[in-house]
Amino acid sequence: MAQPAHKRSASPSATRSRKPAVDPKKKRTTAISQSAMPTVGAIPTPKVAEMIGEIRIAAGPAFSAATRLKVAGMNTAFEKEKHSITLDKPIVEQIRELFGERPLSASINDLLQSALVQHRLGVLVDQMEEEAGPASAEAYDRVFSQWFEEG
Amino acid sequence: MVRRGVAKARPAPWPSLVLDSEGLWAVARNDSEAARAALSASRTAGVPVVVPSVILAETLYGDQRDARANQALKNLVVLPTTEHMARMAALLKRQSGMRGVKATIDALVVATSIDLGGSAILTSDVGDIDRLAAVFADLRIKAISV
Repeated sequence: MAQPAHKRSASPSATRSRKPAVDPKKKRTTAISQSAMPTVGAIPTPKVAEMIGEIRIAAGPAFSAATRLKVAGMNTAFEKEKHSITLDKPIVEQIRELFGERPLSASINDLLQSALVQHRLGVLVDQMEEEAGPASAEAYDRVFSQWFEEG
Repeated sequence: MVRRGVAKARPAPWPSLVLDSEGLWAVARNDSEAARAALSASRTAGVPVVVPSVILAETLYGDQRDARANQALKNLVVLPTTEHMARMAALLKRQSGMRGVKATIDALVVATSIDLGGSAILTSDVGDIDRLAAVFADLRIKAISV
């Protein structure tokens, strides 16, 4: 997991599930309405500025990989299948600690999804490195320098 | 399990990695060291690597030539383009003053990054992507050249 576990409980999705005291019409943190579209030249209207602010909030450090995918549209339309599973008690306690009052099934579902996504990525990277060798230190430098480049 | 190259892999500083058409082909053909570095770093950091669904329409041929791309896509996250992303892309195009089909697809890629809360974008179109991303200067969205 990319984010420290203790930060996830404060994630926007966790907050949403507890019926936050924000405008109930705003179901998604990054929701955009038609009225947010008009702008005057390159200067964002207040509505657009508000939208930018909401997106920045959504990008906060507590935004886990699983939450990112969920907010962006993943994992919203899948049919559910009911199962009875047995978990180690300490694991369940940690999940409850991480996700707070969020339903256990949804929390486990998100964690599993994130784990599967990472597993599949690992399979792909292993295949690529098997075929062409790992990237050089210089390649990492080039890629990272572009990310940190200003402007 | 022993993984080759893990000793050199560094954790990615970006919160997610988005592939555009050239980014996807660089991964599929496996002919870009930058692509391998970006994916390996993403794996090390545990961040998702995402392909916007609209990129499939732009990139794939719909026949056997897609075999390598399909092989890569099996292990990547294909993210549907939502109405929210489409509206965001329209906003990006307008504010960046860009037009045309290519700009529309680039804008959808950047809109996907915005929806993810910022990301690196693996692309050959660094200039266009950075120009669109500049509209949302509060979010860190950076093009990384294949």
